Amino acid sequence: MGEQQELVTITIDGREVSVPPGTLLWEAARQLDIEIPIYCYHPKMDPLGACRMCFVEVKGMPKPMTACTTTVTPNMVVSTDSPMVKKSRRGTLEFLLINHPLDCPICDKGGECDLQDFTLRHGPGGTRFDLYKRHYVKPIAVSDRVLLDRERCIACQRCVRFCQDVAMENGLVMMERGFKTEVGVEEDAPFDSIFSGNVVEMCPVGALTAKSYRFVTRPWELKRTASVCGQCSVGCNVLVDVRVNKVLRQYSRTNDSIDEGFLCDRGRWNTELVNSPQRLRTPLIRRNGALEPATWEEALQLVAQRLRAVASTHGASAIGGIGSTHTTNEEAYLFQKLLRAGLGTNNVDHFHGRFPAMERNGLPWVWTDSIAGLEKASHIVLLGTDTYNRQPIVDLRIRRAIRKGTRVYVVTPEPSRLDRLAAGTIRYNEGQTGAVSRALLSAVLSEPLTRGDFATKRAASVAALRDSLAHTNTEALAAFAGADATALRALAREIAQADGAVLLYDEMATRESTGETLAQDVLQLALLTDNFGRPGAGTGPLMEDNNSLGARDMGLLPDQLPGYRMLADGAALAQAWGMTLPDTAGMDYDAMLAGGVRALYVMGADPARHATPEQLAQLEALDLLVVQELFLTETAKRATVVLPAVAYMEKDGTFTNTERAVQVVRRAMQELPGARADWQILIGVANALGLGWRYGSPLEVLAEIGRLVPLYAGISRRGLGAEGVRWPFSAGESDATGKPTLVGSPHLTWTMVEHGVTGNGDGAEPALPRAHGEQG
Amino acid sequence: MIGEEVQVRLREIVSRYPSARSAMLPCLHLVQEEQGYITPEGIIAVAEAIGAKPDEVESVVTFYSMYTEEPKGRCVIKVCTSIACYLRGCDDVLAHLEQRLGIRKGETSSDGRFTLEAAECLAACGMAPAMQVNGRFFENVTTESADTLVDYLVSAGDTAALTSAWQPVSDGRGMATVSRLDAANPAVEAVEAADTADTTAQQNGAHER
Ligand code: SF4
Ligand code: SF4
Ligand code: FES
Ligand code: FES
Repeated sequence: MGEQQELVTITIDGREVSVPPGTLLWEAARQLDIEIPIYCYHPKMDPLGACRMCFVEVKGMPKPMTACTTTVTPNMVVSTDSPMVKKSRRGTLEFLLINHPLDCPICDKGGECDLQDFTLRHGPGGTRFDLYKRHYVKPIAVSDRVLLDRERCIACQRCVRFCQDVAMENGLVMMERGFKTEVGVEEDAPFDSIFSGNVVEMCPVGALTAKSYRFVTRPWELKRTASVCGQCSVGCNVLVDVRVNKVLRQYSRTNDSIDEGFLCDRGRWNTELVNSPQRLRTPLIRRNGALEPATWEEALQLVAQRLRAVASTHGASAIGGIGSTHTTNEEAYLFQKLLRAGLGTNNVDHFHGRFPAMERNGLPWVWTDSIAGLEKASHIVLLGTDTYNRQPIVDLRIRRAIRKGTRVYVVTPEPSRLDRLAAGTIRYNEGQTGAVSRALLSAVLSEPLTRGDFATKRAASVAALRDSLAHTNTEALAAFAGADATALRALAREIAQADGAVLLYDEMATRESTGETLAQDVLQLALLTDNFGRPGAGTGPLMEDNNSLGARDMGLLPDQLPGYRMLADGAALAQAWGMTLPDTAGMDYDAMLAGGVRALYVMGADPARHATPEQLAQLEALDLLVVQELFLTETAKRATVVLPAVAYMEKDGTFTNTERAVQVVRRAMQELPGARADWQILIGVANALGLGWRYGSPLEVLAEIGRLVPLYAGISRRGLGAEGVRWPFSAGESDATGKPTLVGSPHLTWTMVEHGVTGNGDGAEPALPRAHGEQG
Repeated sequence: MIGEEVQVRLREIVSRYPSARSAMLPCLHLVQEEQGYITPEGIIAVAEAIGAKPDEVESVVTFYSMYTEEPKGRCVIKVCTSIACYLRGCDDVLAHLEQRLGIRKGETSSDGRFTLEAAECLAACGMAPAMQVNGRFFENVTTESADTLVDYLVSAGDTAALTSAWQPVSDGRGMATVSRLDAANPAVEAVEAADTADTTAQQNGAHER
């Protein structure tokens, strides 16, 4: 990445290492696998030099130096095990232990504590301090979820710096000074941040502990699995710690391009999903009006038999399927395959934002840049989003961008936690995100503020677009939305002059009354102001759930096949599946719920929860309602057959996050007895229908996806590695490790736009991206 | 209550610094001066004025011992107990004042008149033992001169001592100033008279120990 840099060569413990200028000694040593003990230093935060644990000897320097604050200089000679270093480490540890309670036997950190470990490796054998130690009431709750043992605190200030510098939220601060120094919370500024759990993970000792984990287990009893969080569309990398089939805690498994080693509290602590006693443990069949336990065999046979019955009386088009935004790609793929190839209908959809199919085969409405790219943006404009609650770790990345000087505009109906840090906020009436976005587009067209090749090449289309929007000028739209027109115009100007603006909207804002053209308007806004095709510029939706994008990618859509292939282009797929595929578009989510179908197959979704009374009545009037679920949801309560499924920690597969990263999800524990993974259930149903599916594992499904799904071509579990890969990867090509090669750069470029999104005409002026059937 | 007038002064202080956060200490002095101690309201007012979060302000308040979050007596007596003053008999002065005022160090008398505190080095080591009353220095203190001072504070009522000590505290930059009471002040005369009488004897005493 980036330009070639002169490296600096230094010697540590007699071994040479070459690192970029500015590298800290600690980091340089790490590259040689030399451990320098640290407490206050944290690779994701600025060095502080507070704890004095990381002393090394630098030749020519009279005193020991802190490796966490000293940067390399050419020909430096460093020792990490000289008598001076050993003596200073012993000294630091002796001081730290003076007031330390050494209650290791009852400390949650015991067994994985840096104070224990460093004392063992570098500490003094005894102490010269034989007076009374400091004692405090313990623990005190610094928040609803985090407890503090002040006696154990070594005042490294990691937690404090996380709250103040990374989360930039009210939280932990240092109080008092000298030997009285302690971590605390200001009463009027409660520690209620959604990022609070990170301080527990960062604390090098047992001073900060999670209420949910207190006295629950010893760390060496845990079985640890590397996986991905499934609680929102960010897809943070986690380590799931399980004991006796219960998830006891989760730690971050640092992925710098996504989470930088942080998790939100929802991802970290919401284990209800899998641990809850309310989970379904047996299939249920409706008999005489009531749901009663049944065996898997009975249930699967019944589903197959009733599906066949509906198909033979009402035809295949009377069957529909609502898939999940939570299940894996493999499961989403199998679900639509079951509906399309097995049951012969395109009536398949999921609960999602309004993203009309593009005019021609093309890229869908996706975030063209990346989470890491946010830090490169000069401007970030948030339209109708609530990143703090919905995509918390994206919110955290936005905060990092703010610290680097990015100007953030929060354009939302409700105040948000980012407002305080934003360059500006614009408020409008609930449900008007579309109107506000169009007001911005309209301002760009009318002033005019368009710039860049993309707009120049399409001068005529841009003029036509301007004319078509002439009757809805910025002022009228702003008045309609209840927003400040002057502020919107000023924002449009900033966007048009930005070095790089990232324009993000919430997927679900497209469902609002004015949201119909939201996705398209924002895309055009980005394209026409040249905020596109480079890191730190771009646009797209922030998706709702952990696999919302994967569900779309896998073709849980009535009018597009996996990989956004148009129905008309389905021949290859039909051939591979050995079936003829229905060639007319199916019913969408709303149409299916409006009584369009007689049998509805729901996997991992709860349509009853967002349903209108009419839709509820339709659900109840169905001939057959099959539900795959973890809990007896509102939809499941109305089902004919309920098939108990498992949570993401109990199965293997892949998720695709909001920035197109496909990542491996691993089974961290045994399935709940009686329940089955959705992919297993689908195979069971398919085989009860006589389809003869032979997938032995999600891996085999992924292999099929890699063969048949554009955008995912060449994907393999090995290639995805530990940190996943962002599509588009190039078909079939992979590097030495098996990682698929990216097409160009990881952010979508103009070329992609021109070939994909816009459906470039032959020689004629290239078109503006347009939804299928959109006028103007 | 942090009134509009104080808000204006806070803004004025902030405007004198290139970075608003740098104004935290003078702003805290101002609200402390206004309310006698730092109240939650004061913290929020300062946080707003300098664009920080209340928890950050609280952290600073607890760090510096010249800020207090407890209401204090109208006369705050601080006796230095650091090394120079220690060698020169501050323990006796402190013990004497505890007895005289009927409170332990760190406490406030029940009538709300006196708070007695031990302080770290007051930077008057050259004339140890030193103490401060509401920011005013008294040096070469003996148990007798301390008594004289307390007599004066009691007889003059708090107000005389308070006004003389309190007025110059804000020097217009929001900073506390410390200066000796001028010689025209009867209390100082009394104390200084006692000082002179005692100095030699006490210095000798100190050496003898
Ligand atoms: S609580 Fe833990 S992280 Fe925070 S300062 Fe103390 S030791 Fe460091
Ligand atoms: S931000 Fe989302 S993916 Fe990350 S930990 Fe939180 S819920 Fe999980
Ligand atoms: S890790 Fe270097 S001083 Fe704390
Ligand atoms: S030691 Fe008392 S003033 Fe310095």
